[in-house]
Amino acid sequence: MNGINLKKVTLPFILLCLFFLPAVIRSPYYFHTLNMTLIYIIAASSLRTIALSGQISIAHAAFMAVGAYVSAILAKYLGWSPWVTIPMGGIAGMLAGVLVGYPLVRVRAIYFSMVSLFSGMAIVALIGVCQTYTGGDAGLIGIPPLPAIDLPWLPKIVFVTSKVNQYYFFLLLTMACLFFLHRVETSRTGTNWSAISQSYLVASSVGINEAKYRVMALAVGCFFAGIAGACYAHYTMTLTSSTFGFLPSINLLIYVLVGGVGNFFGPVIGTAVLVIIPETFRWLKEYVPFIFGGIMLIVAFLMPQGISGLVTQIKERIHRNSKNGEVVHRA
Amino acid sequence: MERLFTVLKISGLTKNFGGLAAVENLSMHVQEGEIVGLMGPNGAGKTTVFNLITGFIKPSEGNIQFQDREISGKKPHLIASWGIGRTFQFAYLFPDFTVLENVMASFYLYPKCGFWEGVFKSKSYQKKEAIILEQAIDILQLVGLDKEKDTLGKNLPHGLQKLLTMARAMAIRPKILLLDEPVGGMYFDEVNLAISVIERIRQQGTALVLVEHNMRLMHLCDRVVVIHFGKKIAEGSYEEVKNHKDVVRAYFGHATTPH
Repeated sequence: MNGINLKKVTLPFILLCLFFLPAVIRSPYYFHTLNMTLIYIIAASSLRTIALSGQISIAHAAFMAVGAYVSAILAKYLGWSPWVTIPMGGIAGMLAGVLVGYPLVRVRAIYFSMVSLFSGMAIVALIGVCQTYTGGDAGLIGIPPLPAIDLPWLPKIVFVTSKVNQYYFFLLLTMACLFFLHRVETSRTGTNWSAISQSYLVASSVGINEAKYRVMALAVGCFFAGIAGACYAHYTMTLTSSTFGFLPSINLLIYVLVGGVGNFFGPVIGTAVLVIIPETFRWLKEYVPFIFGGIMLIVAFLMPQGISGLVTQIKERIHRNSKNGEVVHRA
Repeated sequence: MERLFTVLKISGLTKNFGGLAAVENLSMHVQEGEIVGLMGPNGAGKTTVFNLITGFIKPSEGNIQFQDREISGKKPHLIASWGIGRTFQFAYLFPDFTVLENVMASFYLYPKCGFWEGVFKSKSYQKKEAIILEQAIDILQLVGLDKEKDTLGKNLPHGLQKLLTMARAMAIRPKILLLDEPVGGMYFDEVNLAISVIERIRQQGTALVLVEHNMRLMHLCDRVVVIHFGKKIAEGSYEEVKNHKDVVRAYFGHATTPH
């Protein structure tokens, strides 16, 4: 009963803090970090959505790349507005997810992860090969930034010069994406994903089409990966394929695991901790992998359910202690 | 006596694993509302027959007809959607779901919910969820698990897990239910409970096929099919089959009934 009240208060409180953050923080550098965190929160949360169906994908950054390059190329060469190309990047990510996911339906668990890893590397290699449009390994530069919103009756919102305005855009976008993912997860679709991940034999014995729901999870997850990638492209205005290689995919997975797969806000917490902490210790740049490793060890040993599981863990500990106390008292 | 409709008809079913014939030229049928026992020593191929019927493995040869529809080699989820329910020899369930969630998750087919209505939580979707909850509680009452509905599947005692798997299989509204050792590893009291559940399922008009070593369950069967090394060696009522010389030889190794 206490937990529910806490949840109802905590979430709006945190959102309120995030909305009024620009009143406290002025440095554009901090907002840059926050914007990157928000983009990666979308990516990590959508990776967790895929993981709900029992598929641990090590290609998620590659699907971000698909969204990023499709959106960047459409905007740069065809001159389309990024407001149009970002959703198209999402759809491209989704199509790539379905194309890769469909043949992978036959492999499960660690075998799925292995094959997804190579699919991801293939996508990144493909981007490197198509030099004419993607710029190859040298990178793609001159991607149009987010254009200003000029609606009647409202003041013009400019994104290029203001990191704060970009922050508000990414905050709203992240909230919308998380809301959608939460709705899907708590619907019957989420139940079916959980069912096939717990036992695909039982699930198919009650008529759940395992292949369909696994591809569906990839479609939903990769759509948001594409959105995140497209945002990244128009935010940083340059792209190199190495940004989306093997290591970034692993990093996304670590964000999810450190935050906790079992909790919807796990990837949010994990991404926040693992993007912001290394940024704060930027002056120790060479040692950032050690900080990363240290956090992972602490989480693995002390918080098996991830950082988001900490609250339940502490509650259980208190509950157990008070119970023990009761027994002692009675004796 | 009224003429009964044949629900399931298996003819010439064969499954080879490499050079080994796990099931060889098996023919049997199940009629509407009937309980058929599938008996045989360990390794006789009983579970393989279930896996063949439900599509978990594909037959090498032969036909399986379910309500005039050829189902051999079809995908498991399609066969389930046509109305063949099954349980597994080991109490397979959704371990991280509660008892109630286990049954609710099994209501995938009735009613079916779309992706977008789940996202928008539309009125019709909410109505469907309410129907699912109601049906799930009905089924839990049928198997007597309504008091345990908030226990996690993995924390349930083994005997009750097996009952839960029956409840789960009932959720697809099966015309025929295949139970693989429904009382295996159960205590005496739990067996009584399981027998009453099986009788209640039969009263609903569902045909049943039982694989079981427990002789108390075999008494429930209208007909018993005995297989040995994948071949049918006897068929008839339990009393007839019990003293059949091939059955006695399969179980005890000699041709006369030991006195």
